[in-house]
Amino acid sequence: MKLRFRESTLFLYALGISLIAFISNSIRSIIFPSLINGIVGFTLGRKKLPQKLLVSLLLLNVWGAFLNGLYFHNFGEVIISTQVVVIREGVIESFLLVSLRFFLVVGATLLMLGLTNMRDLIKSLERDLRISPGIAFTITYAFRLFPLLSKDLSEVYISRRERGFSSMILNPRNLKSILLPLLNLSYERAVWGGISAELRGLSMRRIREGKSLSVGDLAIFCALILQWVLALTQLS
Amino acid sequence: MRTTKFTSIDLALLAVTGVVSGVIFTATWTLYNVSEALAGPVGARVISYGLWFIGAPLAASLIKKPFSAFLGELIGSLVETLIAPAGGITNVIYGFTQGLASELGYMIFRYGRWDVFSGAVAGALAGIPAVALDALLFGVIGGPIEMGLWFLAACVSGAIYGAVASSVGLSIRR
Amino acid sequence: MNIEAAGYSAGDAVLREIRFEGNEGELILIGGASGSGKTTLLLAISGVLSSLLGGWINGSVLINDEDILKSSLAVSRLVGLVLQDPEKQVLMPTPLDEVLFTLENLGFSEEEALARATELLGRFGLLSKRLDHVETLSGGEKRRLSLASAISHKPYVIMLDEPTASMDPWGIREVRRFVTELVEGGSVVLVVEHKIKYFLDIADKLILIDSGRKIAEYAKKELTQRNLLEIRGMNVDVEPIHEIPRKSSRRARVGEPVLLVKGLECWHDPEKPLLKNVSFEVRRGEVVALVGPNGSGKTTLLKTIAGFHRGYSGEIKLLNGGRRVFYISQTPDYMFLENTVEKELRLTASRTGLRVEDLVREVPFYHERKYSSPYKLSLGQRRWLTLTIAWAYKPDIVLMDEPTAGLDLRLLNTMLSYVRKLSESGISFIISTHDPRVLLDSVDKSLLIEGNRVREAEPYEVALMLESIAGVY
Repeated sequence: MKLRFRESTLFLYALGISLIAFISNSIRSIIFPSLINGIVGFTLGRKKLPQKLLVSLLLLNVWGAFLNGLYFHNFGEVIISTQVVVIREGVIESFLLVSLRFFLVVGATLLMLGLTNMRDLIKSLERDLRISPGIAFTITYAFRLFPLLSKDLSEVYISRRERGFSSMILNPRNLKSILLPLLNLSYERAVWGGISAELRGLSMRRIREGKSLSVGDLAIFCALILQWVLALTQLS
Repeated sequence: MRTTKFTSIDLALLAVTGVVSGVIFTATWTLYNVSEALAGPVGARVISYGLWFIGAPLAASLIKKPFSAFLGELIGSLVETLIAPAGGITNVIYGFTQGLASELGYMIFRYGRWDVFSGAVAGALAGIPAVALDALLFGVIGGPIEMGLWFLAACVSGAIYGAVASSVGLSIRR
Repeated sequence: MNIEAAGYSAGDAVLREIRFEGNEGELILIGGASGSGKTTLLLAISGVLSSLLGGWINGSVLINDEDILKSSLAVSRLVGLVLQDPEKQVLMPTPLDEVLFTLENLGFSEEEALARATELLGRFGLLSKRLDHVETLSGGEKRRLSLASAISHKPYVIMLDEPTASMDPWGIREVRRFVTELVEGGSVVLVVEHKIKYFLDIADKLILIDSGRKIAEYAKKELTQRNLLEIRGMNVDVEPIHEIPRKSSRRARVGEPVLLVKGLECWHDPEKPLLKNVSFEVRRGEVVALVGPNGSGKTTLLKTIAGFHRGYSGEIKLLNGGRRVFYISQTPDYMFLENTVEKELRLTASRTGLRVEDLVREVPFYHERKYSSPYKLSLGQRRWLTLTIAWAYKPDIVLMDEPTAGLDLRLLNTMLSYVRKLSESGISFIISTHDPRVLLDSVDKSLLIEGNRVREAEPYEVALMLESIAGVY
């Protein structure tokens, strides 16, 4: 049987789970939520997002967490000592904690992205969470624009190469010369898009009745609360 | 006549700045990782942090209405999350607080100033919650001097990129 | 319809004293050159000029005796608008949502909205793609979607803003059919266009405007040969190609070959090559037109020659000392890096070793627009500036993607005269186009894309063929 739920419930779940990362201050308090969401999230996310992206994401963040620990938490008992670095207890602890937080946050996000699609999610945000139709329109339109802007960006890159300015490294000067064409083109699109939306009655749009809460929604909320309780009771 | 209600064109502009910022935000991750390895934590913050705050000055300099700064940054972070979930939904939490801080930058001028200067102020203010959230989430906590430097670095970076973003926003053909 | 005056900022009228009437089942064609106020007129009629763009309108627009300018709510229900460029009109990520959008906004019930959307998408051949992202649709499919979504709520008046601007002849034929069907179905249809020749034969009324004023109105029976001659003087594109005398070829003065393309195959997906076994050569100073419908691979071929497209096999060789190819996109905005025309030229000079004065001499509008942003120039001026920048890099061959899209007859001729001038100095051009006007007297030879093959053809013949596909010859 397929469990029915509101897509917006998943959004609330992912948000709620991510907040655990902010309050948990020990490995014990975060390990269970992190493992649950991380494993489920990465398994589900594999179907929707390219595997390469996920793996590089994982490696990058683990490496970042390690450097982070080395910079800011290198104290406590010495664990490994080589000529290049001395690694103390604090590094390992901070590394684990930050990695678990990352696993938790990205896992919960992937769980949301894996179980729903953008179209239904935005619809549900508008109907069930009752965000304003204007904002819902903005987010939907942003998804329509995204591939157009990626195309713009690659055309800008071609023109820059033609003119001998191939670098796309972001600094104030490059940012300006990249933003200028993107925004000038998009401004025109936005004005016509706005006119089109207005004439097609955007300002008359009313929120429609959403789905009623179902067992599925309740189950998701229970999972969220349970993990919060787990995290809170294990705070040090 | 100044109205505060968002028109259809404002909403479309918000989408545009959201996507543009989302794309820039995503690219900033690489820059941040490289610059942290090369220039250390303070350098990395100066070089890259401000790029994560441009959603607010971009939207505000184009729309010039209350909440445009806040929504610009928030929607940028939402787009970033959905195209490349590098920071997961915490991006939205960063975007939310940074957007609020930048909004404050325009509010203190009573929504009467939408120039490069207020853009720089808005960018600078976003640095405060950014560094604070880093401390909470990633345990990036140092001594008082280090913390002070990080705040300063993030704010300086925010001011520079905020000024650039709003100068571009103000120069757009209409 | 009666507009006393209208404009964007107070006291500054863009339109003055325009009055006309339209009846059910009529096509009203509104002609005028770029900047004549055609588009502003549509924005005024639909009320968005005052309700959304902060402008003002004195006058009234009566539909069934109700002034839609006074009751803004009615406008959406009564009016459907097709914008110049579907890229700008399409708002939703999928075709289904695009059609549903209007219906949902106007409060149709969910079942009815879905039923109507499904029926429309089926009629426009988009049903199987209803949940694909709109950016995966072809140019033609996107255009059909913009037509479908404009009429989903069965509006009483349908307005089309320069529908042929970015369209190939195949698309023009489709729009003509769409318009004819709407008129037969009893709608009031307004088409605003500078290439009026594409709609003259099906129009019931022609209204010409210039500098925001109505300068002439012709009823169907007045659209005689004599009147058309009169219209010709007004800078709108009224002349079908077959009535323009054929000019002699310029082939004599081209030089030795500079580019050789042999056995070229291009693809995005190697399983489905876009173009196969393409072979041709370009001589020094030669202007070559590359002609084909939207999506046939024109842009890909140009990008391949310029070295920006990796998916290809075969030979691309520069000959006789040719060293540099320069690609110019259809959208000039991609190329600018600076905030003023002056800085843009200075930057170009610093990269190319030319003196700024040399560049300034190439730009006729330099002194009046020196300090304005290149993005704020008119479309014609922006295209001109990109060509000047390209010239500065001393290319042997310039590749231009649809350089005349969106230009009216006068601007088109200005653009082509610059191309001719540069070609006489020894620069070769490959110009991708589906605009028959380009093929008339500026082009030495044309390459025609048919299916996935490319063959050489006589430019004048190709121009005639394009017009006949569009349905005006």
